[in-house]
Amino acid sequence: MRHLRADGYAVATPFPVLDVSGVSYRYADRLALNDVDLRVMRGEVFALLGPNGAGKSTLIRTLCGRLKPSAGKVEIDGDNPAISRLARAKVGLVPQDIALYPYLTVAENLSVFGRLAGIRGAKLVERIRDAVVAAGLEERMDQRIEILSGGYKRRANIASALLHAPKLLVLDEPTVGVDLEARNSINAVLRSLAEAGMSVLITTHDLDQAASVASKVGIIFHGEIIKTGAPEALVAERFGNDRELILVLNEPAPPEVVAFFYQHNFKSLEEGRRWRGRLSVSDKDVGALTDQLAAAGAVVRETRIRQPGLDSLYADLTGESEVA
Amino acid sequence: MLVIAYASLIGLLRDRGALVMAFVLPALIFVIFAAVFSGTQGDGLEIEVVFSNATQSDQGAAIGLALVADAEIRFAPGGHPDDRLAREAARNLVLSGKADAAIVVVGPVLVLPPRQATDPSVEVLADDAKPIAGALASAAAQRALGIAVPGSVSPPAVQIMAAAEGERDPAVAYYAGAITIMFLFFASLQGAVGMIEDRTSGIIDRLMLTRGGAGALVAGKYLFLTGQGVVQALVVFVVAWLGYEVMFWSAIGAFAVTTLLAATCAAGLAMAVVSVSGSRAQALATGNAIVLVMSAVGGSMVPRYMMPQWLQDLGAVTPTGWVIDAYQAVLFRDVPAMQLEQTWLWLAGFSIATLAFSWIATRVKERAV
Repeated sequence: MRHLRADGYAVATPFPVLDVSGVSYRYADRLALNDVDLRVMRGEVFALLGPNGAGKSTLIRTLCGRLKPSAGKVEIDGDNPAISRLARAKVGLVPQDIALYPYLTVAENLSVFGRLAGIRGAKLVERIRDAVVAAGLEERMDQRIEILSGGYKRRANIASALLHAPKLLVLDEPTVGVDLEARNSINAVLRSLAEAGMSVLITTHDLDQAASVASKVGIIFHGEIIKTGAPEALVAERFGNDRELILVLNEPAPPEVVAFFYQHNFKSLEEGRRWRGRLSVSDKDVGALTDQLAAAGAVVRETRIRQPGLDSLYADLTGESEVA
Repeated sequence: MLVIAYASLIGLLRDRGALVMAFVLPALIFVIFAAVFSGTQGDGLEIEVVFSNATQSDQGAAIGLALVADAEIRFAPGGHPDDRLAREAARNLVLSGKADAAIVVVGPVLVLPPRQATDPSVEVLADDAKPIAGALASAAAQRALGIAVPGSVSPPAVQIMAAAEGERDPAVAYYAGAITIMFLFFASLQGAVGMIEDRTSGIIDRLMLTRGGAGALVAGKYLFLTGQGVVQALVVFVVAWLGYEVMFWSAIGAFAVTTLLAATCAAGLAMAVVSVSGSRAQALATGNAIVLVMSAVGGSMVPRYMMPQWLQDLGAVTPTGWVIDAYQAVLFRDVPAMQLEQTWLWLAGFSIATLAFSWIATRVKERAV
């Protein structure tokens, strides 16, 4: 996209590959998306976080053209996916489940999905090769999907969405149910795709993954994007130099201790036994705090102090201890 | 132990498909079979005969009148004694399946001492595909002889003969078609439920972004199931040919059209059921119930002519009934292809309607998720 400066020179401005602007979507009985704004730039990995029912799936369906927004607009590289096949063809979708034929090999699956995307002949061979290299599947080409490990199945799932060289890759919970090693390898795949210029939008349960792979995160809650930005910047903006204090009690807190915690802006994490609060004072004050708690009848079994992270921000904004 | 039983009971009560399979379907199939077999053992089995007084004698006319007065005999259209059919015309009506048997007066009815051999006075030309019809027509002819020519009735007076010539076994030909269409439906249903996995795994989500969309999935599955059905039918008929001399290739054109339409019917029905089902279990329960009832009523398990008239009428408007009738016409009755047009049109119409329904239902479902 280009615009004219006041001095008359045309300058290039960053052009969002995904541009969601003021989008609302209403099901019969509830508003699933409410005035959602979201932009994903070229080469950016954007992680969308939110609890169940927050509107993540509705948003994905909207930007894949499956649902037409009640208000607002969605554009993929300038085209509306609800009416333009061209726009939909610019999206590569990686569903949460393994959307592949289990009795076919990796190569056979890629060939099937490539053909369905309208790719034929030498171009298909080339695209399959590129997708396999991008997903690190060179050694698994001739193995059936059903016998692959969870991590390789996930990679094959990603590879199948790359065949038509999409501008935007949308991944719905790409690391659910995989081990740490597989998660790291998937993260590496996503990073390399972004470095190659692809825009990536992921929804994830995994806050560590979001923190490590995403250049930008958005937190969606009750159909609204309540925060968007770079993870570190958002955490710094929210917590400043504060640290996070987690106290684990021997037993659920009695009412007077609960009142004490709420008075000090602590939040309950686990049936009144685990509490999280922010600490803007010195470590010495932690001792005083635990003494006060002991005097109120609560025995602190464990005390943890750490730098706040994305999970702290998420919990602080949504009141949920983890992404559902 | 009781907890497990309780949990299983709750699961059953909340699974409508399982409830239908467990309680409704067995009772329904029982009612169908009870209706069929109570008819065959009692007075309820009615056959349609044609009459020919080939001798044009007064005795023959009297036998015709006695048959008209017989409450257990119905005359097929064009086969009443007043129609004055020749023997060959009567035989052709049986061969074409329009009548179950022909009662033909072929000689004088003689009053002879018991056990004295003589040429038969009456021939019963029976449809080989309906052996019971021959016996019933023979019994009716014996009764008519007894009334028309008192004292004439001795077993040799009436002879049952096959209306068809040659060595074809009509029962084998019948069941080749009947079994083929039943298993075409079952196999298609089994193949089509894969679409539900495609939906739940996200394959359809992925396809919705491609050029073909969900239509590619429906069309591809339909093509596959049709191909599978054609091969499946061929396997059955090749076995019938090798083992029982069912010469399906003697009318290969009509056989091919019938087989193709049977396969498209099975594919269409299976996909229509799957397209409106929410789960694999629901699709299989619904589909199996439909196929079983249709097979029972349509004649895959028991020939339709053995059923009471209301069931025959019902079976005649099922795809199973159409396919069996078409195979019978092609394999046994040598019916010209032109006369199969109406049956083929029904089959083609059903195939197109079910395919269109499944395409629309899939599209609506995928758009509305």
